Amino acid sequence: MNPMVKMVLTLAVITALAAAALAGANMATADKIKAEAEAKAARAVLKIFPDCAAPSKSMEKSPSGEDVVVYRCPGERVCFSFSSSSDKAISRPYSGRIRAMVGIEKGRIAGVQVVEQSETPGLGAKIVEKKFLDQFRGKDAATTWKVKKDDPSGAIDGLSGATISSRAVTTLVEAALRFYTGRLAPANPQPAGENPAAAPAPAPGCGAAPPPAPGCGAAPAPAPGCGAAPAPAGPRGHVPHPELFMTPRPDVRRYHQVLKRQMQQQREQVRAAGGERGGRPVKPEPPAEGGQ
Amino acid sequence: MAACAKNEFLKGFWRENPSMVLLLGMCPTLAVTTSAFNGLGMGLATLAVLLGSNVVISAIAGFIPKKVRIPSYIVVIATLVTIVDMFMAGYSPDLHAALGLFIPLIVVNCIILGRAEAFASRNGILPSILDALGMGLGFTVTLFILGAVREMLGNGTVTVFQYKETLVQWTVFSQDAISPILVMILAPGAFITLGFFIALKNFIDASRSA
Repeated sequence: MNPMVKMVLTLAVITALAAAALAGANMATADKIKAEAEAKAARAVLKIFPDCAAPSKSMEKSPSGEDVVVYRCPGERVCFSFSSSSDKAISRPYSGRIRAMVGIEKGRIAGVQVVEQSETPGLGAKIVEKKFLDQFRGKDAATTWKVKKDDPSGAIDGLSGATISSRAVTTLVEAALRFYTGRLAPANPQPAGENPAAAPAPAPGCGAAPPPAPGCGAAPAPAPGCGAAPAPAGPRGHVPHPELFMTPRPDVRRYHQVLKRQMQQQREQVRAAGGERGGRPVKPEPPAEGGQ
Repeated sequence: MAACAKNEFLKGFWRENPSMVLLLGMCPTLAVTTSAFNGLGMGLATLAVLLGSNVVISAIAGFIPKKVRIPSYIVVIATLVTIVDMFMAGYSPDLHAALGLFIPLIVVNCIILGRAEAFASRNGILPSILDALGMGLGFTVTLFILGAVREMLGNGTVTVFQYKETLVQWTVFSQDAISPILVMILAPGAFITLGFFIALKNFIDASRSA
């Protein structure tokens, strides 16, 4: 046989066999993989609300138009999974995408479970660990949704060496909470009879309790420090800056120019005030120091 | 024959160790060994695919024209890897969650193509199996130790096993007391550690032959 033809034929046969094997494997496993993904979501719900074995399911649309399966449990508790592409405000993960099941009970985060991620093993992949995720428990709309490294007043301790991943999860949970207050929370404020009882008692020595945010199911908790009560942020009060870390270059340059000009002005002021003595604080003044 | 078989098996551990002598499969070696368990997982997954590909390739090598052997081998390896990935996702999702990241990386692992080209295509099935086992285990052991050293310096722990809720982990030092050398977990740490490993191996070899 012509060696050329033999070459092509051999490769064609091998590829066809491989395709057949793959098709077979796909048929054998596709249903199983799909069922497994659903079971995984149900398990994540159970991890957040251990007593909620039979949640009622409904479909919603996320702000970016993705399908979101919402699991509702008795007692004003909901669980739904949000991915890093569910809302434009969510900061991008380091690689791939992150999907997390977020459980909310009466306007507060009850638990977060990361169900899908492909961050760097040993660094960003630590976002799945309990130690990191437990921080979100109990947070609500009044929380400063920032990683401490970006904003010292932020409520979330980022993972060292994985700020981008930590930021992605933080903004994801924040977006999920916003989605909840905007779309899923009971439309009316809670019945007047129930509200005072449910609202936590104001801390002792604390002035007026912050008024309940209008149109928000659960009243924001009073700040633990309680000194200057923070402005009761509505559910949309805090605007995240997901792209803070991507400061555009021209801005940096302009900032440097402004700094430079300020320093120059200062130097001139010192020179004007100091007159002849002028030397010490102003370094680039060799003539004032006298020649060698 | 027995001595020869023993040799085929043992050469992967030291004399022709894939990571330290052949310097094959550097991508998974450097990228994945951020913890001891990750190294172990990558090593075992590679071992499984290496075994399969060595057997298949030593069986079909006679029919494949020389000029198209590389594409043929790659098709065989990629098919095996994808099938392993699918079955793992369907029937053992927890193992898949732990190892899922490494599986696609195996296709680009040069050890597998290297062994197919250098050994399996020129030898029978039985020596190819021994070669795969030796090389795979040698790779696994090296990756495990590499991962353990990096994790210990960079995170203060050595994770030996992590599956479902089970976690076998040895805490060497608390991160609150001593701050770990973060760079050891990052890519440069992989190069530094591997460099020391190779230097140590060469030193031992040199002092032995002297």
